[in-house]
Amino acid sequence: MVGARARTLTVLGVVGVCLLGAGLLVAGRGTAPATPARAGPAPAGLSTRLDDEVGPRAGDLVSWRTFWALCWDPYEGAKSYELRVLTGEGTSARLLRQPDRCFRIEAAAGESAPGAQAGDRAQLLAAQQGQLAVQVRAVVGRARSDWSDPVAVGSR
Amino acid sequence: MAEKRFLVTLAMAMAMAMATATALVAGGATVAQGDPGPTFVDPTVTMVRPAEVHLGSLVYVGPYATLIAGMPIHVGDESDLQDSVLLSARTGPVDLGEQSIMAHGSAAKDGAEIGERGTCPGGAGHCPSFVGFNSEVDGGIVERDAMVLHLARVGPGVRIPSGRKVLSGKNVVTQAQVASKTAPVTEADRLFMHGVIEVNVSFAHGYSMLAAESPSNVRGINYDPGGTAFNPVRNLPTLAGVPTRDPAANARIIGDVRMADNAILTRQIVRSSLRADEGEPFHVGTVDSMGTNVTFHALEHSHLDLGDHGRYGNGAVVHGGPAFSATTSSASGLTLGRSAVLFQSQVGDQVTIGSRSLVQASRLAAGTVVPENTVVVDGVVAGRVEW
Repeated sequence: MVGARARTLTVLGVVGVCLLGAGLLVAGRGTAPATPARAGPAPAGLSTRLDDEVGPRAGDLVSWRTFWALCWDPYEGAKSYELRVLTGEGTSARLLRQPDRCFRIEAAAGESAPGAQAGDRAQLLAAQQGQLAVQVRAVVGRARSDWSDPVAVGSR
Repeated sequence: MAEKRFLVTLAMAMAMAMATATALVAGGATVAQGDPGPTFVDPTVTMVRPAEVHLGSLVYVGPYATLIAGMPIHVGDESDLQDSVLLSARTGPVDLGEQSIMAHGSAAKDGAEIGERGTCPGGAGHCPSFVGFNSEVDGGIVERDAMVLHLARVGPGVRIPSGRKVLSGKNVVTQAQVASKTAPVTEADRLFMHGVIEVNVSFAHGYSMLAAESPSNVRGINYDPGGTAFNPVRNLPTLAGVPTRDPAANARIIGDVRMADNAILTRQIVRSSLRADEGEPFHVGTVDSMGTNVTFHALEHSHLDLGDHGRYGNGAVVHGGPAFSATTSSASGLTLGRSAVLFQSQVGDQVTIGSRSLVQASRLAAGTVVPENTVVVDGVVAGRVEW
C-alpha cells in the first residue's frame, strides 16, 4: 500500500492505454529538451469541435458520449506535434506527442432520460472546461515551435 | 482517548537520500523512503497521533491539512492532500491508495477508503482517484479511477466503482443511488487526474528542495518553489505594494500573490492558504474579513483577480481554471459563505454566494445572491448540495 514501489512508466502506460484510441503517443518518460531550438511561431488555425455518439438505451435511459477535438493548420516541416496538459491544479511537465493535426478526446458521457441529454451534456462539458486545457506546438527535427495559447477541453 | 497534538515539522527531512526502502520517522509520522523521491508535508499541517500516520513516497501534503489518527491513516505513493484537507480516523482507519487526489478542503473520515481497490483502464496496476473541493467521503469507498466532484458526499458503506464520478453536490447514501448520482469518468477526466498527480509530485520535489535550502522558506509568507520550465524564478508575495517575506506569519501566502492591503500582517488573515505556485501573479483586493482554512489557488495560465472589500467564510475556496477562458474574478464586495466554492467564474459587484454553494464556469451579474447549498454550473442552477 505505502511501500516504495517501482513506478517506472506508470503514467506513461496508463495514459497511453487510455489514449491509444485517439492515436496518441506519449513522449518518453521525461519531458522535451529543456531548451530546444525555436522552430517558429505557434501552430495557427486552431479550431475545436464536438462530436456526439449515442449508444443503446438502458431501460429508460440513453447512453451518450461527447468527444472534443482540437485541430490546427499544417506546420511546415513538422513530423509531429506535442501537447502540454494544463489542469486546474497546475501544468504537467509530461508531454503528449502525436503525428496528427487533431487531438481528440472523450470529454463528457452520461446516461440521460429522453430530453435531458442536452442539459446534462452542457453541464458536464462546462465542468470539464474548469479542469483541463491543452497547448500544442510543432516538432520540427530537434526544434520546437512556440506553444499555442491554452484551449480548454470541452470548449467550442 | 488521550490525544497528543502537535504541529509536524518534517518538511525539510524529506529531501534526504532515498536509495533504500527504510522507513523514516520524522515529526512522528512514518514516511516511506523509497526510490522515487521525497514526500513534503507543509509545516502548518496538524497531526493527531502521528505515529499512526503512514505516508508514501512523493506525497504532497498542503497547508493546514489535518490528520487525526485515532486509528491508522495510510496515504499511498504519489498522492496529494491539498490545502485544508481533513483525514479523520476516529472510529475507523482511513486508507488512501496510490495516486489519490484530495482536493482543497475535502475530507475522508472513519473507514473511508480511496483508490485501494477496483480496476484501472487497460488493466494497469494503479491509477488516480479524485475527491473534489470541499467534498467528503464519510466511511465510503471510492475505487481507483473513480471521482467525487465538488461539494459531493459519499456516505458510510457506499462504494463508488471504478469508472464513475459522483456529480457535484450529490449525497450518495445508498448503493442504489450510485447509478443516478454519478456519470462515467471520461478520457479527459483521466488526463486531468494524471496531470494533477504530475503537478503534485513536482510540488513534493519543489517544496522539499525549498525546505532543504532553509526550513524558513516553507513557512508563512514566502517563495513559491520555482525551478520549472514554466516558472523558473521564485517569487515573493506583495502586500500593499511591498514584496514581503515573513516566515512568522500565521497564514501561508506563497508566490506572486499581490494583495492590496496587508491584512495578513494585521492578523485579519490566519490559517488560510493563498497559493500562486506557478508564478503567475494573482490579485487580491482589500479583505474585509477572512475565516480560517480559506484557499485561493491559481495557476500559470489562469487569472485570479479579486476586488476590494471581499468577505470569505471559513473553508471557502476561490480557484482559477486551466486557461485564460477559465479566469476567476470578482468586482467589489464579494461575499463567499462558509465552505462555498467560486471556481473558474466571473462575478460582478456585491455578489453573495451562500454557504456550501458551488459556482463554476459561470458569470454572475452584479447583486446576484446564490442561496446556500446551491450548485451553479454554466450559469444555471444544476441542483442542490444535498447534505
